[in-house]
Amino acid sequence: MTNKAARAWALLAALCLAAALGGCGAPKKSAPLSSVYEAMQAANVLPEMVPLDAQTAMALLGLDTAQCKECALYISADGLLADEVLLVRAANQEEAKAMQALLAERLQFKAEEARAYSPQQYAIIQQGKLLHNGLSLALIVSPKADELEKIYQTFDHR
Amino acid sequence: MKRLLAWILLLAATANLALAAQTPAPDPTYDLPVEQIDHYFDDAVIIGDSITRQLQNYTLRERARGRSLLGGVTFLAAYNYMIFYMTTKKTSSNDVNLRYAGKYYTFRDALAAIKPKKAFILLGLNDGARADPSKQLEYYAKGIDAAFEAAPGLTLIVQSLSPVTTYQTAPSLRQKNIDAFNAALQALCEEKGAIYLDIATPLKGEDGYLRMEYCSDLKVHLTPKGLEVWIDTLRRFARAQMKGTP
Repeated sequence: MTNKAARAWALLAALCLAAALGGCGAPKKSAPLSSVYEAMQAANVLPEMVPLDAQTAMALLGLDTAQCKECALYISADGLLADEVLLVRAANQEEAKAMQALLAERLQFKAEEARAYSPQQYAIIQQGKLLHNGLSLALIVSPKADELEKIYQTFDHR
Repeated sequence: MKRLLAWILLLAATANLALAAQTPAPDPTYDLPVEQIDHYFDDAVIIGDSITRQLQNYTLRERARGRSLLGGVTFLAAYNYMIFYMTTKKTSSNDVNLRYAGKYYTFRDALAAIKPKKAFILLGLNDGARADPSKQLEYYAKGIDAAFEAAPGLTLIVQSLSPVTTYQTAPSLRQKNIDAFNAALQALCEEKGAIYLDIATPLKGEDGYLRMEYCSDLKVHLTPKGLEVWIDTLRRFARAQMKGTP
């Protein structure tokens, strides 16, 4: 091998190493929120969950699902568990801002009512994740919130 | 002519069969299809604490499984809601508030905002069943007044405290005090024009305590089986109201 060729190979190897270290993994896939939730469910860390219909989403969260481009809203079937996964895609930035506020208030309410009632559930709520990527928002409350967030972030949420 | 009559009879029989297929059969327990009974709750709100929250989430679960359950009822629950909070005039970060449609409400303001035709209340276990419940009854009386002021024409149904198991040994929640409180609550309801609904008796065993099969935490909260007993009590009440019988 000539010096030039060897240098070219070395440069190529260095570039590949830099790319690997820089975290260039597989491209994120775009998917409907129902599929994102299914992926989170498949982790088997959530208790039995129930979907919120439009009426309940409004009553419980103040969220008008007709204003969402897409949503997947789930709370624990057991009323005494804090677990909750609320995934929303807004139609525009203004709606995204309003929905983020609603999700933040939801998290605050959960914390307030659990604080004196159930220290265990309160601790879980305190670790809850409120995520905002472009027009996509998520509220994740679970003892395994970190794991569920990782799954959520494997998807493209622009 | 005979042939025409035969055709008419055949058509009538077919129409009857089709109609029977569409109309749900009366539930033998209630003498009406449950879907019709559950419509009683369309304009109702159920307000309470963690036990009501259990009923709320269970109802959502069952509806997701395709069951009709309590119609379009609205739930308002906060884990540690108390009788005292029925009397507060403003929401406060120091208090437990109800939350509905993205906003915090006092008991009174929630009823004024929602304007239900019926309100079912289950409160008192977080207050503790004391040997002298006069203070709690005083708050309850004020709460009942507040409800009628906030929603004129309201049918107010005050549910008895649900029972506890024999494992519940905390002095603040002795079953005999709960029973005494319920008796006093019934008298208060009669005085105030509210309806008293005994949800406790169907949940109790022969020993007068919450049956263990209905209890999810050995003490006070309910299993799905216990929640179904409560739902049955609510439906029987609704059926009686629909018939105009007490």
